Amino acid sequence: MESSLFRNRFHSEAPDDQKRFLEDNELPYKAISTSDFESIKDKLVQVARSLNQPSPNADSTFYKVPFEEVPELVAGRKVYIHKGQAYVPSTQLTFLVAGQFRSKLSKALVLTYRKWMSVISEEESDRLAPIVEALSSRYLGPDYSQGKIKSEVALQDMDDLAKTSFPLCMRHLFFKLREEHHLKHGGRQQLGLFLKGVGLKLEDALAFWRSEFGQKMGVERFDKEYAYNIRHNYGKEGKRTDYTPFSCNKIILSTPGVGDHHGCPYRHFSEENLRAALGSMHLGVRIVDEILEKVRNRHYQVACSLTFEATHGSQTIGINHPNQYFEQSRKILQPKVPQELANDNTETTTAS
Amino acid sequence: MGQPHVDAMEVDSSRNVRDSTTDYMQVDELPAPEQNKPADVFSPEYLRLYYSRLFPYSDMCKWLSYGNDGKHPGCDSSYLNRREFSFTLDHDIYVRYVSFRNASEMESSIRDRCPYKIDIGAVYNVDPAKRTAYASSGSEKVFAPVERELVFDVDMTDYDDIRFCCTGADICLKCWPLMTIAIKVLDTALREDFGFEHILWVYSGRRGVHCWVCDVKARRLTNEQRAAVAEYFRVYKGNENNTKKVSLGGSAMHPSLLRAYVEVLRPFFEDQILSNQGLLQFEERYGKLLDMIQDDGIVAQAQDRWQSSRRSSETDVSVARWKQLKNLLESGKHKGSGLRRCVEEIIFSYTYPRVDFEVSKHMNHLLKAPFCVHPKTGRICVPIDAEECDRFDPTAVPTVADLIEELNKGEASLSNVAQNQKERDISKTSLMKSIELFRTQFLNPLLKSCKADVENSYTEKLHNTQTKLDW
Repeated sequence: MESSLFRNRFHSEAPDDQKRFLEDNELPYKAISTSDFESIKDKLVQVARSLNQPSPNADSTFYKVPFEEVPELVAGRKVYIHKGQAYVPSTQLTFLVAGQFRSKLSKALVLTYRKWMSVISEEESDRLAPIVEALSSRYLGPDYSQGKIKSEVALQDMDDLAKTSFPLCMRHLFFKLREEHHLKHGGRQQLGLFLKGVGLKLEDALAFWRSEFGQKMGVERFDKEYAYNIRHNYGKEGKRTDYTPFSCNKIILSTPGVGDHHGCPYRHFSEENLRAALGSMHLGVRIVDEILEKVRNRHYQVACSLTFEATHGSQTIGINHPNQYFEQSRKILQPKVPQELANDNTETTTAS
Repeated sequence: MGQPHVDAMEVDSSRNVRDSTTDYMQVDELPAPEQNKPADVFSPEYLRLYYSRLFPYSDMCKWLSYGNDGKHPGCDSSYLNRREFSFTLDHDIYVRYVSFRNASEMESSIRDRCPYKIDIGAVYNVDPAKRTAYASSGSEKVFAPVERELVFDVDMTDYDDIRFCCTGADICLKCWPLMTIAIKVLDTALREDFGFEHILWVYSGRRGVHCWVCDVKARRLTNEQRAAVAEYFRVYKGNENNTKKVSLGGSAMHPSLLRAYVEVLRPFFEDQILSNQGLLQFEERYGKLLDMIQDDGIVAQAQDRWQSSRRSSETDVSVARWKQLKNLLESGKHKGSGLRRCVEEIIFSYTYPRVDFEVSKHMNHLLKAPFCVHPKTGRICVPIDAEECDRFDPTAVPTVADLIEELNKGEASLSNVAQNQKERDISKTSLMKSIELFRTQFLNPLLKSCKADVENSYTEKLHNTQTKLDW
């Protein structure tokens, strides 16, 4: 995130200020000569055209840097590379500089962490340490690692809950699992962590996945190959990280491949398939058209909110997280007594 | 096949005195010859013999030491010991953080435990076997990977949506060209675009290939940089939920993609894949392809022509229909940009390499070692010559059973008595040519370059300390 902010700020600087920044920080980027440019000009033009950008001409400046310095440009095939060198146009200078920024920041962070762990936390136990500790825990926020509504979800209610309260991404995964008794890794992570956020306990989760996978491969193979991962997701194995359910942002940015069913249907499904999926939720043609219009304009989360509104008959404040969708849905479909709402952390509700 | 099996015991025990007791015990355990099943391609006994007689420990350690096993003062003698290996033993017992100081330690450990699978992990900052000493938070040091080859894993099951000759774990010579394409495209790009030189391609033993990029720059890439390289090769973004799997935007293709298309993808698609896979022969198959075309008019025309055709029984009908389709698309180009790259997008969908992203991204990912035996097929994970990969035949790769039989029957092809027992044994089998390929194409050039690296960095270090001492 810091890198994005840096990139933004650098990009808004005037070209002269940018050049001065390069000099001040002694960044070793040199522009290529005219003869070098001429020898690779056709390739540079191809790259520009592949990105629908204006073709470079004799006035354009290009910097020759090792490809390791510009991973984002390489990843997106947004730059010409040859024998390990990337030819970065001055319009993309920001990526170059941001790369340096990020690696310096990263190194500094690692050093700080090590110093902290070995020396400083002792010395600062009265002063800085309490503040630093609180920094991470104070933000309880909606990461849904422990559901705000401390409800326990019963296994037998899952199918109904999936139909009424799961967002489309999780609905799709859930019913695919029921249908094929299998999901690939990406799907298991996305759905599994969502269910954890919903309140499914580890024992129930194991029983659930075992009952599905067991139908296709036998419970022994499930226990041997898959149970470990589920326990890992709940923080019971390995480095014991309690993984948080994926937010919409993360899901939208994922890249489902062959045989995968995770990701955001509004982003990753073809229009035809999305129309069919929404149809199976009994949404009328007009609302489906409206949703697809949002999808065409790449407003995937707005599309999901529209689906919520259409299926629940009420407004929503904007979906950022599948567990948020679920909680809002439960609030509407199963309203609590006001007293219980005040005691979020102590009450449990039993699913009816 | 039962007979040679027993003979091997006797021959072995007469030549290797130190093994005679174990061999003798083994003979007692073997079932009587007439009760033996016909030769399996794999058995624990074959594996044991392979690891005791044929597995090339010293070549593997020479490779993985990257020149640090020499006598030059610039060598880091702890280097090999800091590499993680993992063993998968019988009954699926998995052992991580295995390490060795040298080839003879590797040999005794592997012969002792006879792993069904050996994986190679990263080089860490300390011996992985001693990592727990650095785990406590009081220490400034953390146990972390410092070097690791850039690796790629291409698996045939990732192409299941576009191959119709086989499914699942099976492969044949009709779908293997997809792997050939992957090798050609990736090898060229890794050399031309990224400037890497020391690249080893290995058959995975069943249905895919692995690539090990061993240049020092590659070994020092961060996870983010590895992810960037893997992403550079991602073109296919498909699964059953979307229909347009490849999107080549813009008015031209990136030079790397264009090179792949012209040199490899298009010729393979039009000369081999179309007919091998009968891509346009039946409606279930050509339907998939037509789904990628966003012009209903053209799709309808193609369907009309092909649906009622009597030619579907001919195997070369796909080639003819492809020509028809290209003509339709060409004539429709003026209608809009949706069709502009359609032919290319279709070809990319059916041919461009599909790499396993997660394998390449993480330094600490464990990948199967070359020259291992695949426990399900018995085949040896042999190196593939990238320059001759058109001729590689996965169905002709020797199995461990083949090698043991050759060992028993064969005569040494080298008559030089100075060669050690291991070299003589290897030369009796078809493993010899794989090891020679490994050495000439990969290991020798690599070691030459490593030697230069070690010497250069030593000289540089000396120079730096000297200049620091100058007043």
